[in-house]
Amino acid sequence: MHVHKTILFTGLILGMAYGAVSGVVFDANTDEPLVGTSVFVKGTFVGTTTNDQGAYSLEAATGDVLVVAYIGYKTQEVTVGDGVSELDIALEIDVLQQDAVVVTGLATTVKRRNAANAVAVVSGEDLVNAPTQTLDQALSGKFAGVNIRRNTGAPGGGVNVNLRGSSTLTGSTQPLYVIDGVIVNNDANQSGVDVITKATGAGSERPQGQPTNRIGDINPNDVESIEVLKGASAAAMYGAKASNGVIIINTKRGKGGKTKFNFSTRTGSSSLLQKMGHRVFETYAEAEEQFGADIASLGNDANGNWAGNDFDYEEILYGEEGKLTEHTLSAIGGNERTQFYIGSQYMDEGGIIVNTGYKKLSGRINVSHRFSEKAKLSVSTNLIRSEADRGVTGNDNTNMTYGFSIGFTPSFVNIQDTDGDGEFPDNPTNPSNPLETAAYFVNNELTHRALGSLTFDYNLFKKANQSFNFLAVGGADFYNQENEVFIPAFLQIEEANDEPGQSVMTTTDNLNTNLSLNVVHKLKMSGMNFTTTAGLQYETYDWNSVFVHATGMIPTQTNVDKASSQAVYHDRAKRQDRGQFFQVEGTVGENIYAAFGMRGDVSSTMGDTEAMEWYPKLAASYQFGELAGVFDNLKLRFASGETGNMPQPKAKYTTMSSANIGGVNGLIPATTRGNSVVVPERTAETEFGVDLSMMNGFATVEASMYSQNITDLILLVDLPASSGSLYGWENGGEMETKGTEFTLGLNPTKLVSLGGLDWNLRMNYYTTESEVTKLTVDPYNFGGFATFLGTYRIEEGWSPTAIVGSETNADGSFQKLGDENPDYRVSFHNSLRVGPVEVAFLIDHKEGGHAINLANLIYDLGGTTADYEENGGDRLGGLGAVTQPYVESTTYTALRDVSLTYTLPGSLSDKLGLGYLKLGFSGRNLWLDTEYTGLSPEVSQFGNEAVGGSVDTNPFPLSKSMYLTLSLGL
Amino acid sequence: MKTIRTNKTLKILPIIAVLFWVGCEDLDFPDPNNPTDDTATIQSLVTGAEAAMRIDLGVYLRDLLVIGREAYYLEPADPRYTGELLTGPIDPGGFLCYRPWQTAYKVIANCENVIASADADAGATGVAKTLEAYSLMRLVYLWDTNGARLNYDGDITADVATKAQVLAEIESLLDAGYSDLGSAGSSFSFSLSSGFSGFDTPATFALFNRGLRARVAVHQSDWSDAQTALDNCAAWAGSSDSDEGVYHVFSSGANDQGNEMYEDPTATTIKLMIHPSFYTDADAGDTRMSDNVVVRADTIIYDELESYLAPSLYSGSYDPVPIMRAEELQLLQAEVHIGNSDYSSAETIMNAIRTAAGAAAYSGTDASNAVDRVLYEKRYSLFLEGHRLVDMRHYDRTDQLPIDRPDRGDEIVTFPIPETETPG
Repeated sequence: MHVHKTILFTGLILGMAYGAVSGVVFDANTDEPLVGTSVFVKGTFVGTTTNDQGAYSLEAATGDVLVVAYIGYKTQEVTVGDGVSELDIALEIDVLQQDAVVVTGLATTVKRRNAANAVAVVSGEDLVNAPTQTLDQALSGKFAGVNIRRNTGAPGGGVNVNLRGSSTLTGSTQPLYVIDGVIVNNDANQSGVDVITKATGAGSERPQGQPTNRIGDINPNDVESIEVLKGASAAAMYGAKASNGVIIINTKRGKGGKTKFNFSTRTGSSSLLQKMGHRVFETYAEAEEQFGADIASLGNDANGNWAGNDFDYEEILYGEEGKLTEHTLSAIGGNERTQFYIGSQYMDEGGIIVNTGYKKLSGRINVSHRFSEKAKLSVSTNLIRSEADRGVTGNDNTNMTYGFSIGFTPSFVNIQDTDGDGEFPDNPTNPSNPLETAAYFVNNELTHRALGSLTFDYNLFKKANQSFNFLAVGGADFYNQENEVFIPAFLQIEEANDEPGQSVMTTTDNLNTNLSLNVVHKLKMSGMNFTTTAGLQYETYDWNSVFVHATGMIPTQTNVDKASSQAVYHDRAKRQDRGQFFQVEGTVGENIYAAFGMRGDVSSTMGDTEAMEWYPKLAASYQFGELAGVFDNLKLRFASGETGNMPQPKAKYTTMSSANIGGVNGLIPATTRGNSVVVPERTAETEFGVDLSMMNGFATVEASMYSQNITDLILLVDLPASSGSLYGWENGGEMETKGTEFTLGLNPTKLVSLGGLDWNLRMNYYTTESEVTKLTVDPYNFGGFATFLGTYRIEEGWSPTAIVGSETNADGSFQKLGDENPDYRVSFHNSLRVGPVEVAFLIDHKEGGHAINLANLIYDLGGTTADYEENGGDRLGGLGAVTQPYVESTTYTALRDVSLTYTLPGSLSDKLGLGYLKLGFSGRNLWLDTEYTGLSPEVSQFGNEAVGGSVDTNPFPLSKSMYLTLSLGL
Repeated sequence: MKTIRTNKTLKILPIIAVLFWVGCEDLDFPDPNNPTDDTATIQSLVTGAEAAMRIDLGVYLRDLLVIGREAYYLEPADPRYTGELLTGPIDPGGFLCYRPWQTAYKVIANCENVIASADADAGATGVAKTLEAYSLMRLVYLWDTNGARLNYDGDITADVATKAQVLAEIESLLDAGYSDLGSAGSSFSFSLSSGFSGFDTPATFALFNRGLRARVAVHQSDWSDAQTALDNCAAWAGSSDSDEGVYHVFSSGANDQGNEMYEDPTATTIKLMIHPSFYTDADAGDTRMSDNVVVRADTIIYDELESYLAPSLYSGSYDPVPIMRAEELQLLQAEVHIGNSDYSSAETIMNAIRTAAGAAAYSGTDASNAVDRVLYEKRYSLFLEGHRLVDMRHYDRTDQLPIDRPDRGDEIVTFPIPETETPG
């Protein structure tokens, strides 16, 4: 009743003839009715949504313009003609996504065509062309300015997502992930393998073991779209947590209309992508020179002659065929008031090493319900179980990991279980037999996760030209991660231990909660629209991890109590944040958009929990519209804003550590001294850009330049150990990051018809460059293992990811040996469609960038490097004075994903009673071209550490995968 | 009607939500993981100091053993043990250098806290000064002529103290500690670990204090101070049990640690291998060699170093490691006698030890062979305790230590001051 009154009121004011207009909104291609389409009178809030049959009815005057908008379709404007009472409206799919909305604040969006930032959007469909185990891996090469590095090829991932270069030296490097309006967790938890390999201790500041990222749990098939707010200017409304950018994921929502089911099943396999290679010992003499007579004689046959054995242990150990099975089932449907999406996934992917693999089971239910014209509620729930068996790879101080062990095992020595009885010979040249270790080592990670969010949108009042809404978003994200690492007592590596057999059980749980309360006021007047929002945020993070390391296991037992001794570690991290913001946005006509906003944050991680940190933003864009007969649209844009990066929760506390003896509690100074006045790091960014579309969509260009100024950098500075502590937290540096991004989309078939071929090409090119501009401490080396083994250098005027080694100049200054940061990255995405056949592939190229290849050092030390005789000895001999040979370029070109899809013609699938039926072949990482000599040019022993990551100690090797997919709709 | 009611309910929701927000928790809470400084007591500081002395004890001992050519540490996962530790120069930022340094200063920080504490009685300060002196002594063992820091305030612009200054500080701390212990009554107000069993009262702990005082005096050839100190701990030096003494003890208890020196000597590959000269230089029948090493059938070769000797001194991961034993005091006494040219008294002491070990007794000890002999006895009696390098330095005989890879530039290295301790 209320609505009618409003319309009546409008009509009277305008003094025009009005009457009922009704009709149906449908898809221009399929003629299917579109349920839930919004239809409203332009310049007012008078409107409605279409019902189950796609029908609408509203009161409009002659000459009124009806604006018809539906997600994924081009917004249509239709003028109500004189005496027209029936108006059916066809909507076309918005291929260029110009009408798609992008986020401008916590409760607001703007049409992409008006956006003042280069906000990259990728649809869920593009993500799952070729399947990935984890969501973050699927982002590779899809966005300009988004640099993705797989730290390891181990099942379950471990992916570094870097948006627009470096913005921190010690803080979190990962973007903020927001799913359906709720901040979700992306922890990387130490698995406990570190403790068994003695790579580092429990609760280390610099965990190794290449942990997984919890964002990997999310099922990519549930994703409707991903938006990436790359820099501070776009992400300012997320304040103190957003300096690494924000990745906004919207999951699929229901659509009204007939319930549709989608089912897909995949099968496939993966195999080793690249090997290190090894040295072949041609003669006894060669072996004797390297290993002495005792070992060399192992290469002889029964007659004492050189047998010439050459066992390729990479092939043997990494040669498992990883089998993949994936099934997904989803349902989408609803009516005009209630819509739902149900998605489920089962995935089981074997690894290329025995006893490794990844399994995931995910279920999601999203429901939206409109109580009334005023109130709408959306609920999302997601339950996930993911499990990874990751083997033992990477750095090691025991010579247990596969890569280390192979490096120390010459290929003439046979360490295989030749009779297949499960008993392996002891490795004579290394403390462990990697084949035996792989057969019995357990490194299992099992995660159970529940995510829920609730969005409540309530219209407090609505008038013809203004509306005032209350929007509340609440969410919770809980996970429990169990890491079980077990090494049985009978393995060779345990022989030297006095308490052989070890078991590590780590239980980590975490609860994140979010609450955000916002008011949104919209005002329309004479061609201008204003949106004003204000809101409050409250977020908590509560992480709790208990870690038990048992040694001296009772044979056959894995429980940590069935052991002769246990060590227990317990660690918590707690964070509570409050924020508030205010933002005004306005558009003038179609051309001008401007926004101003301010966010204030206070957090338990700040030294002063009373002092609010403020983050402003300012943005504007101008659209020229059609221009010079060539441009469909040309837009200039400018945005500027600030964000922060929180100190680590423990940074502000100065405490003591436990050191007991004889069962009495002892305390000693903590290794790291806290800083009670620590403040968040601050990134200020300015971005300029030009977006254009030419020749009826033949070409689209998005070009941006940005410059970031990062202040209050948090440093973990060295303290002289003579003070009792080794490190201290300090806000003590500044950095500058600059970059350009260029995205070109070409649709040649818009220009020339190629016999029904539809061809889309997208190129993403970007560069970033960072420089430390101010340091309040002396320059220092950080990361890696030691200066002579390659380390990063933090020095004024240098890139923060510069790599140095032993080499110094005459004046004692370090020589730069390389830089982790690439010169540029470029990717090409091609999609071609002819009738029912579609081919798509993505080529990803990284130019430049370096890693410290200690995998070669490991092999050199073992005397087994493929080029040992030519170079290995020299590399090794120079060690201590020359590090350069171990710093290698990581330039590579990869065929990221490729897919070939055949869709059964509609007439046939109709006959079968199916909505559609598709058959597909796809591949991931099928081809890699690189001169890097390690297993993978994408590598980080230290996970997602800001500085010092690109160190290669022989991680889990990368694999290439191929799949066959059958999908159908009902 | 129903719809209207729903709307009313819904209207209240924003208000409830705002109230909920206002009720959210305070942001200022203590560290959920660790206690703050004010939680520390004399007991927890003393226990912490004792516990911290064992942190990276393995690295400290390996440093001394490898440089002193008593052992190799064949660690394929880290080339530094067979690289810079033998060839130099030692990386002033590497763990071989900073870890033993850091351990010593953690202990010193606790000791300084005790000494400065208003709650500390004479027993506590006596113990703290003694342990602080012991930590400084470990620094002298590795850093030798490069000195150490005696300012603990983190000011790296202050000069690094010279070896002479550090030795003087050790002596002064030991003497002050000895005096404190003398006025500390009959028992401590706190407990020490079982590593101090038999030395856990002010009077018996004072024996340990004097033992250290004798050691530091001998290293400076200060024979008269050494004799005085030895006289003051004669009750211990004269013990019938040559192993009676003070130890680092280990356990599998919470936040405790294990003996990092232990490896099964029969495992296919082990890391700590004894220098072959320990076998070839041993006198016939000397059980200090034969009981403490396993001669393996295979020779382990790594990085051009080879050995067939595995230590069997320790039989498990929680075996105690000596800090000071009666046998060392006896040998210190022999050194003092030699220093005073009393060769026959020295010979008597050495022969008692040799006879017990199954080696033939010496005769004719004189100025020409006395030092050789006492160094041999110390080498075999104090096997793996880390004194050989310092003894060889004391008698200026580091040139007699075997150099295995002259072509690689092997030499006897001295540790540099860690890079974080000096500006630039």
